[in-house]
Amino acid sequence: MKKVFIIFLLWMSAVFSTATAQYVVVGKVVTSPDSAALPGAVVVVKGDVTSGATSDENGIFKLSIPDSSADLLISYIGYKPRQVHVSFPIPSALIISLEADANQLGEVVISTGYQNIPKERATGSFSTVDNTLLSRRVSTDLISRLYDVVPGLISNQGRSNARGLLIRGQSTISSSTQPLIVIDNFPYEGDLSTINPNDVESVTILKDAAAASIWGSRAGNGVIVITTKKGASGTPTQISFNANVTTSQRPDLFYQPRISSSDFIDNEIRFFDLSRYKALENNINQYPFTPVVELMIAGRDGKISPQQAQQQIDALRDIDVRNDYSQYLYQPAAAQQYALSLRGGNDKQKFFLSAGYDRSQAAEVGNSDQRFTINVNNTYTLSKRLDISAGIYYTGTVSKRNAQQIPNYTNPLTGLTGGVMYPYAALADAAGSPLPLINEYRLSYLDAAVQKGFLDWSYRPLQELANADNTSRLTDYRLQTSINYKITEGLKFTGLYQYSRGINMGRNHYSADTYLSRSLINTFTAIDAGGILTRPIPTGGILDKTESSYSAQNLRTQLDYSRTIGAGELTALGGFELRELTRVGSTFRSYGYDDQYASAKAVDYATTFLYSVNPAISSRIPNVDTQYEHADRYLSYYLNAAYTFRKRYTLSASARTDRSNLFGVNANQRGVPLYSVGAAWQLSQESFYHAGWLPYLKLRGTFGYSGNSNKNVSAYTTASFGTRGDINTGAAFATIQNPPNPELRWERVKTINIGIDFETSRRTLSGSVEYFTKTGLDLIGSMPYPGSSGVKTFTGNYAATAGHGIDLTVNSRIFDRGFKWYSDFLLSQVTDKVTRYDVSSTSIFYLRNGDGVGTFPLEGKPLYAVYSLDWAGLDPSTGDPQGYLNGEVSKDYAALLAITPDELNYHGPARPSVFGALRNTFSWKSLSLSVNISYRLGYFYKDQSVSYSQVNTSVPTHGDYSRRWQKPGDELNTTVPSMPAVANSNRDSFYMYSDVLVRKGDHIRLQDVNLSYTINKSNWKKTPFQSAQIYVYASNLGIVWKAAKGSIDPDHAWSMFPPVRTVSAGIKFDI
Amino acid sequence: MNNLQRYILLLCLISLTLGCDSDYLEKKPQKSLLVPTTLSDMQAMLDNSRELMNVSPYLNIISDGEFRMLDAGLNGQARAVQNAYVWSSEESATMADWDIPYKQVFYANVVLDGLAKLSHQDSQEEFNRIRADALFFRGLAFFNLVQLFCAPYQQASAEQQLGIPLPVSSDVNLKMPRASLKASYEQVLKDLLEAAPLLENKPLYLTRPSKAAARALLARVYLLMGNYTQALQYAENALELQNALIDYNSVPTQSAISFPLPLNTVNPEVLFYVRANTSFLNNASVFVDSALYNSYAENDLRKKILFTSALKYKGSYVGTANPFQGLSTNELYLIKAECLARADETDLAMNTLDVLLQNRWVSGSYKPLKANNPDHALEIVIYERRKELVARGLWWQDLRRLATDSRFNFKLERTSMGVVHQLAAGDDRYVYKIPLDELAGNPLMQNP
Repeated sequence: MKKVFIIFLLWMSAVFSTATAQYVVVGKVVTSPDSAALPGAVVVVKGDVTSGATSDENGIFKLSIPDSSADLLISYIGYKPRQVHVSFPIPSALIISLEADANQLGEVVISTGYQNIPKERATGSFSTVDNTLLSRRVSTDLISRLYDVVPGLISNQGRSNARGLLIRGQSTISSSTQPLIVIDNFPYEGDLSTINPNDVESVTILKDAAAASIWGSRAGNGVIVITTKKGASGTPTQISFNANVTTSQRPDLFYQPRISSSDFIDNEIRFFDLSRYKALENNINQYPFTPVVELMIAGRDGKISPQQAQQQIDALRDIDVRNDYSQYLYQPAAAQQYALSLRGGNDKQKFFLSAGYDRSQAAEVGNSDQRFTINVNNTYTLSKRLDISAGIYYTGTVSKRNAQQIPNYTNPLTGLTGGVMYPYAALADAAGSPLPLINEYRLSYLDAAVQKGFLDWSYRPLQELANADNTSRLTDYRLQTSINYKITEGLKFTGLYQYSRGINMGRNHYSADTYLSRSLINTFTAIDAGGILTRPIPTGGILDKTESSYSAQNLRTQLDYSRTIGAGELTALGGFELRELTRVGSTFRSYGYDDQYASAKAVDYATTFLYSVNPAISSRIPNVDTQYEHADRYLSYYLNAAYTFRKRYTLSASARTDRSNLFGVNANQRGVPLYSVGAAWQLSQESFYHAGWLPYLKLRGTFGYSGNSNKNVSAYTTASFGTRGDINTGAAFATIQNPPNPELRWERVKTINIGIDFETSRRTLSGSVEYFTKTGLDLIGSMPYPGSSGVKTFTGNYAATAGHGIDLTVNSRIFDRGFKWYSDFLLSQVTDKVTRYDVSSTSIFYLRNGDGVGTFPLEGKPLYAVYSLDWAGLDPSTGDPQGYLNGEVSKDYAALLAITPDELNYHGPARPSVFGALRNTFSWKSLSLSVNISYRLGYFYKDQSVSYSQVNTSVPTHGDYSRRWQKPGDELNTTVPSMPAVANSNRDSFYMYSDVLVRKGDHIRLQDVNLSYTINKSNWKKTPFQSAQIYVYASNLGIVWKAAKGSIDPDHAWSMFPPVRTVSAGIKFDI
Repeated sequence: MNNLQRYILLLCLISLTLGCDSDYLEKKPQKSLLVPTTLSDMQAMLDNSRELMNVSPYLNIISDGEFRMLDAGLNGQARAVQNAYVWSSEESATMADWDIPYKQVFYANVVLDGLAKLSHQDSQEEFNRIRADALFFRGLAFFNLVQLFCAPYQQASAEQQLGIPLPVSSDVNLKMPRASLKASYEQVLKDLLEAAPLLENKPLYLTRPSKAAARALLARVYLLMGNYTQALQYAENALELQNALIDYNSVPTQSAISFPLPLNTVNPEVLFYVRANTSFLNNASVFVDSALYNSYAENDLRKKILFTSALKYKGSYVGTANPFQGLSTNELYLIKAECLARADETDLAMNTLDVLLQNRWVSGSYKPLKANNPDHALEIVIYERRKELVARGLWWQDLRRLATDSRFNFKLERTSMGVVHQLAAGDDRYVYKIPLDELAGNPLMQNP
């Protein structure tokens, strides 16, 4: 009825306008196909840019035209512009419908996991990665497809703790840094590798408080909202298929320079001549000796002639074990991916079915993965008011982990197990048969033991690889159901429930032939005076079974309300959510395992047995059985409202309270109320706005809090039981975890975000600039306590961080005709520093671990940073490294290392502070080429170099050994210190931590290239496909520029090898 | 509205009001996590033996001159160890020997505070025993601290001398000042005297204190305080409960480690198991002082059983090369002999030593000792203490307490990194400096 009235009114006014002989056009702009009023559309007369009108909240515009007829141009962001001819008298009401334009900024709908909101009305900071962009990269996992395409998101490389995915820096110290991952409305608790990227429709990244505070206490690190593909109505059933294969380069094991075998052997001979092995020859621990040392001993003892010894040693000088590692332990990685899906529906039912299969072979020989996914999703429209949907997502993976560690041995000079293998080892003979290497004990001892009846004790790495049998099977499924009920116009109820469960079963079978089984049995074997052997560990294999599982239940009920109030629109939602997450795990070992009959034998875990090699050592039989059970529960209430006035002004607010079973905390501290407020102003909608070249301009800002919880701390005195008995007695024992802390609170992150969105006419340039600050408050940190209190550190809400930065996105269409050249530029800058941390350490910790090897926060500095000592060059007469002590050149290394932390050189963050990418896409007809160049700037790393402590203990050291200072004058060409006469670990440390080894990390990388050829019905009528595409994708193509010299990749300065190049080829088609 | 819709609307409203159940958030986040409330929780904390409760300080072994370390080995040691080795007066940044005993005290206090909140009608006996265990552990920890960080006890000046902070509550926020030396010893005695009658005669594990262990420790404490009457009394009381000695003739001299782990194989001399918190003696560059080694007679089996011919120590009652610092019967014989000698009971003193030493010498080769006078008897006893109680940390205590006795003028000397270091009797450096990380959080008076 109302509609009819409006049309009548329009018609009347048009008639009336003609009557006054002033040609005033009155019309209404609506959207197609749903005919909703479209306020803010721009209407101009063609050829006359000076006059124009904007449609009001009802979509109605009024425009004077000079003549009785004119061509009107009607445009609105996100819609295809239209040209309409009008001529008076206008026969009927002028209703102009605009069709939505795909791939447009304005069309973007942001999914927060609670609601979908059009981007124009958003006040917060969101980035959306649509299906096209997600499909650009070829990978088995989803998350890597977000790298270098989302501003503010970075996957940091670097060392240990500094690694990992971050969105807008790090605002916590000891709690999780991982963004919250939401899949189809609920946080995902399982393994991210179970998600098949082919099933994902789009990903939205929520970066600020407005975006994240609706996710509450776990959103402090940002939120990644993943929306999987769903059925679609109104289109014919569509079958899609995608298949690709990926091959990689063989890893470059020569990436890190290493001392040559010959130099290494020279040192071994030198140590032998210094009698450093003499005492060890009779050591009760039966330390193994390298072939060179054995040959020297044989030569000395007259078993072979010195010449023979020399000859055999010289033959070893040309061997480089890395050739064997490369040949036998590594391979080119490869992967295959197949995905098939079916989607369709009608007005009663929508469905999506998919199946995916992935298999991949890792770069390490023996490791491979297979993944099988099935996704079924149905939505039923039972009545106009009621929708019900149900879905199952199932993933099964089989992972083989048979790869062996790089061989190592017990280095007699250090007495430590796991020493780096000597560089001239050989894994196989000329025919490829596995060769034995030394491992724990001297070969002569092993031979004698076997004579006494011990099991074969030889260690052949390649045979170990062949015998390995380590598989884990992961089953993960999510069952989801939802109900949508329209209570009245504008009021909707949603109920969602999800049950998810993942079970990972590991089975590592060390057969009787494996070194681990044989050696462990032998270690515990006792031999009595009569030569009778007793074996506390029975012969046979060892079977380790691990099982870990999680199950999560989520329940959410929500009311959505949307209504036009006056000249504005109110949308509001509120609801509550229950979440429970349980994790259970166990490890169980069987000794004497016979795989043929699945039988095992009992062992005595209680008695202490003497070791056969060194009876001074006794131990119980290793008992690795453990179990754990964790449960997290959350109870949350949330509210979210936005009011948009005249399509120009939006105010938004959200509030949420989360409570959890944070242990022992007073009930009122279990929860944290979090809120945000925001505002947006679509400036381009204002009547005074006339910048025709910039038809879309929006300002927005938000302020609010999100949180982070850390369940490792508790308010009571808590203790935990050892999962096994006490080593001394076997009795149950408990360790006090933390002293009482009734003041414990949740971590909070305060975020301010200010942004501008813009778009020039014809979308030649569009994008956004955002400035943000993130302040970490009440962070869990440690406080030093005097030892007499009984605790050394006290953990509580003692730390704080502050960060700020910029995210810039510029999308440009340089050419947009037959030949298209689109360029997308991302730039993110982030600075974060620790503003409060009460525990300080001595300088050596910042020097050694500051870059991420440990977490040693220093107030006023980034959490991970590179520090160094001043370098004063090499002593020209000795080649000793020199530093500055109180302004004087000094070689007092202990004193140089003992300076206070505030005297250290601070270079900068160990993680990129400026990063982004430039993606250029060229297309012509069916051919498209996309090239992504990424860059990382504003950070530092430390280069590796020679360590004479390593040299002195026969550990293969860095290749800088050959560049060391050897004679006066060398200091002009090298900064590598001379070999000291007496090992001095402080001298090594000084060099290692001096600024001469600090490098700028800045670099630009050709990340990847995608080339595709697409045909569809529109450009090839005869094709049986809706569309078909062939594509080639190559990634890790190399560094284009870097600030530091040398061959080291700044992001992988401490890796064994840098990322390998990969090439993929694939097809996909839709029918 | 049809029925279905009514039903759904109702469901919506009900579900919105759900979640008020407060029990839902009471679930423990980790099953293995416990808030110690029951007796077995308390027991479990005290049974944290390997990592904490049966661990003792070790710097005394490094300082007391029984063992020497080659420069190469010393180079790689922690600063606190290097300082202890050369008797440096430098303050160490941090010292496990300070922290670990206080952590033991903290555990004991958590148990004692927890017990105070329990109603204990049901299992009074177990309650008392656990309480006594906690008191014993606390007393022992305080005693160990006093031996490292306070001047030797002198009756006359103990009230003026600085003792240690004496936390007797589990509140970690209380920053305790240093009590007087007298008060510190009194606290040790109070804890031990209260514990002794409540302790079991034969606990389940040697890592839990027994009645005999408490008496043995009291004998040691009184000896250190110069109260020889009480020391004698408690040594005899302890020996009444356990007096067995190992005949070293039955111990193989060829084993790499002479004594088995006492925890599952019986070592009749061990009353209470404590392992020093160090692998110092395992270090390849550590050897027994050759003067000490040479002081054993050829027929003295200890020479071959406590040491290898390469001068490595292998005689720990821990069953590994880690030093034993617990309580054992052999120490009791020595305490008894010393107290008798000091009471001028020369013959009785020598007879007591004979009982011990007969088990140490090759069968038939031992000749009973003869002392000319009480001073001579005392000298023999001290001499035997040194040879019998190697690597126990007790020699450091002996050096400290005998410093004021003019009959003994022990002077330590060692060369390290080309520098000769000396430590004369009564030197301030017999008292370790309190570590800096303690002073940073708790402004205690530093030792001279």
